[in-house]
Amino acid sequence: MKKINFILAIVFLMVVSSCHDQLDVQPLDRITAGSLFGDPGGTELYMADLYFRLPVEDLNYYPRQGFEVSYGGPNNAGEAQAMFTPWASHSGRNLGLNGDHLRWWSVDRGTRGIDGDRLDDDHTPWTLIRNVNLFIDIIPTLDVDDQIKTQYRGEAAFIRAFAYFGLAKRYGGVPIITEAQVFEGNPDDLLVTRSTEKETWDFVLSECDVAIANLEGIEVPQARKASKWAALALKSRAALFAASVAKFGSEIDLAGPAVAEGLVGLPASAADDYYQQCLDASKELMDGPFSLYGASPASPEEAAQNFQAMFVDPDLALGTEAIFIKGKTLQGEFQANNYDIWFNPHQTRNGWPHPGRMCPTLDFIDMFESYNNPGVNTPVVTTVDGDVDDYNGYDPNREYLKFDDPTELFADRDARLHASVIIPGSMFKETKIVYQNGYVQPDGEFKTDTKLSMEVDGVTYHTFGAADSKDYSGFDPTGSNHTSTGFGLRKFLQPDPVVPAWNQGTTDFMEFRLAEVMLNYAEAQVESGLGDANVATDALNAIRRRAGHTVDIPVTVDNVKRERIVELAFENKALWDLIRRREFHKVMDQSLKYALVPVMDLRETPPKYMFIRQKTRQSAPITFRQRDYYRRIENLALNQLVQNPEW
Amino acid sequence: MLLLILVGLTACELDNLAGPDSGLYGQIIDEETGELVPQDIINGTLIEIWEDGWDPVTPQRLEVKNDGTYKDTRLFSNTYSVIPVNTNFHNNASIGIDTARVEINGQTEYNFSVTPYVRIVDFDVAQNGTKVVANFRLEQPVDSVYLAEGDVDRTAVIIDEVSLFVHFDPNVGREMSLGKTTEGIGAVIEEGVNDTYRLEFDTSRDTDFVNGGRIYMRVGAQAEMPQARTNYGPTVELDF
Repeated sequence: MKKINFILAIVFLMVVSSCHDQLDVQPLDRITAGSLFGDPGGTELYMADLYFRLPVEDLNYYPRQGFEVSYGGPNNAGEAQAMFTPWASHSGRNLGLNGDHLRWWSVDRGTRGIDGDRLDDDHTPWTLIRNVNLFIDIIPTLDVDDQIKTQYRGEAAFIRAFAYFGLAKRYGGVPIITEAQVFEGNPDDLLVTRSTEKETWDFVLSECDVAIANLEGIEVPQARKASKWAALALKSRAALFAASVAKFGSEIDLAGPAVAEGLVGLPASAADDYYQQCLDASKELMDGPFSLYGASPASPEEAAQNFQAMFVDPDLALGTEAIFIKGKTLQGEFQANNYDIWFNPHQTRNGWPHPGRMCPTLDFIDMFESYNNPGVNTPVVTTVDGDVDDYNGYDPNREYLKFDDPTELFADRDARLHASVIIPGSMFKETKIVYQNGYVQPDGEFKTDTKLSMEVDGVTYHTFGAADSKDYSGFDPTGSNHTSTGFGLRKFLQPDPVVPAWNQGTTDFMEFRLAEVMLNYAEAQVESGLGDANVATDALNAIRRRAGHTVDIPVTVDNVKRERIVELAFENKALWDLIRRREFHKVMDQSLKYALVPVMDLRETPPKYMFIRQKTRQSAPITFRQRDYYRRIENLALNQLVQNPEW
Repeated sequence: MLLLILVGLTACELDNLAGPDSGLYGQIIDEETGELVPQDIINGTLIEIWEDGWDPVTPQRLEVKNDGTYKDTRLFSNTYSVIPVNTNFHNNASIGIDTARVEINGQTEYNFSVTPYVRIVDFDVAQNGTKVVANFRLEQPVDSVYLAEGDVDRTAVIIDEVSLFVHFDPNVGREMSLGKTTEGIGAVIEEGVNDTYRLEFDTSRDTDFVNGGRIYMRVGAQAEMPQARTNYGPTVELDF
């Protein structure tokens, strides 16, 4: 017995004392912090991942699924953000905002199914903020020059400011976490309450200041990383957002604990300070080394070419207009985008089965001025009586204007219309794009919304403009593959043939460009009366001259609003303009979306085109609910935060 | 072995929580006239109920039907705090609605006695060719209130606008209309001054109605009060 005890004791000793160095194995399947940050290349890699996860609303952003929607077959019907504004419509759906949209809190598990949802966890704002905070802690210990450490600190501040901007504009006040939290056994110790909306905006702006100070003098020739200028542009945008929330807060009517505690909403008295910050940041940037791309075109045609080219390849605007670009180089999942396959007209789909989703609305087309009437809203007139408020469809008793070629109706319009939108009868990829829905027969009977053909004087005419669907792009409801408004998207689309597969587009995206900053200045100036009215006027008119205008117009609230709509269209800015200015519930109040329907009049010889202003096929009244000014806070049971009003 | 499984799988009485076999229903009644106060089924008045015994607790929100009644037949028996929000009736420092403590046990009735912001009275609707013509008066029970405790000034109850809403669905209202005619008011309603209205809707001027059919219409007046929802007259059915 003693012997057995002795043996057991020895075995016990052997087991317990096996703490030999050889057993302290470093994991071989992952990179440790030491080896990652020990190498400057590793640090750059880590930074690149943080940049990738910035909430940039680029060509991979969709309001329902969120950011970087480029995994698998992202079959989201091409529901882009512009379709939730009055300025565009989906070809088959009637879209209104609800609680599933514009979220950036956590990502639904299951909607992204790769590597056991690895991307899900990485793509929450809270992981991004934690990873930035960890990086900020590590910077002082890195084995690099002090100058590089300063740059890293500035970039980290920019990333953190951008992340909190993405949160503040969605949720109002949020928990501000400035250090990487350490878990010490009690989950409750990790809870951070929401700061007020004011504190959150002030944090965004102060982080911008940290970035601006630390990035002074740092050159970023490719505009793919944070620079002092990118930080100034972010500050300009964020300050204008906060100023607008403060100034127009009384336009909306929300109540509840979140309002009472200041977690959503800003006092009107704060507006002037934010406007001033926007003016200062914008002015410093406008005095910097930037200029508008193609600033003085010789003709509207040249203006249109320049403007279109800048979005097809933002690198053209390096050294002029581009301040911060999110680049795409590789094709494939998690790399490329899908604008070309979703939004090409049916005629240039090149075999892809789901084109034609983005349909600019008639309300949007009406915003483009006529060069003959600068500074004045000039809706498209299609009848002799000039009534532009009659949307009741074809009326045989009205006299319609008639055209040999459908493009004549738009001949005198702002170059940006022709650069951003495919209008009926215009050329795209050397193809004449056919948008037509119906004809008036020689006997006067009107045929529309149906596929028909008839022969007149030996020529066969078709309601949709051609016999075969490969030769037209409009109004045929089949598969939602044709426009429902009579217009298509041109901005961002590549001139090359579509690669008919998912995730093949590598179009870069300018998140910040000079024109937006100039418009920020103009808006802040005219809304607050602060700043220099002459600078604002010059900025507004410089943008207009770039678009082929020759007559200067004064800076008024309406002129600036219209300019933002036509200049920044489809860049995922317009929806936030409606949110921050508290105008969404006014423009979307049992509202419909309208089309401009080209039809052919076969009573004329040769037949001519007429246009009918009417509601789109699928349009039904949409109302923006005021609670949608702030998104629903998720995971309340865990994070114990105060919910936003009415959610 | 069998015995073990039997013992293991036989749950004890304590595990058997009662299901959601209780409910809450009731009406929103105009205190003065004794009539139901019509509501919006979409984005209208909600009855918030906060169940005791949970922290933090998220409220359940019961939608009120167009006619001013509400009902939820699947609630757990418990004591709840019950309060209407987004109302079209007064709930402020002058005329308040207290948060009620309601013990819900079985199908429980709870009614609200309220003062609407504005009433649509002497309502008359006529069909005139392709037109709907509504004649009515507005009546405002209270012209100004203290919004919050401690307010020094009374706030006037401004009536923003009045509209005639038209739809093919009987749940017609502000959030459910295919056509509408609106007249702005922007003032307190005074008898004999600005209380008489006539609204027309021409079905031949709207693509949705041009082919006729059975349509439903309601008149709604919108008060400019915090979170205010629209006050309605009766729903009328007409054939075109």
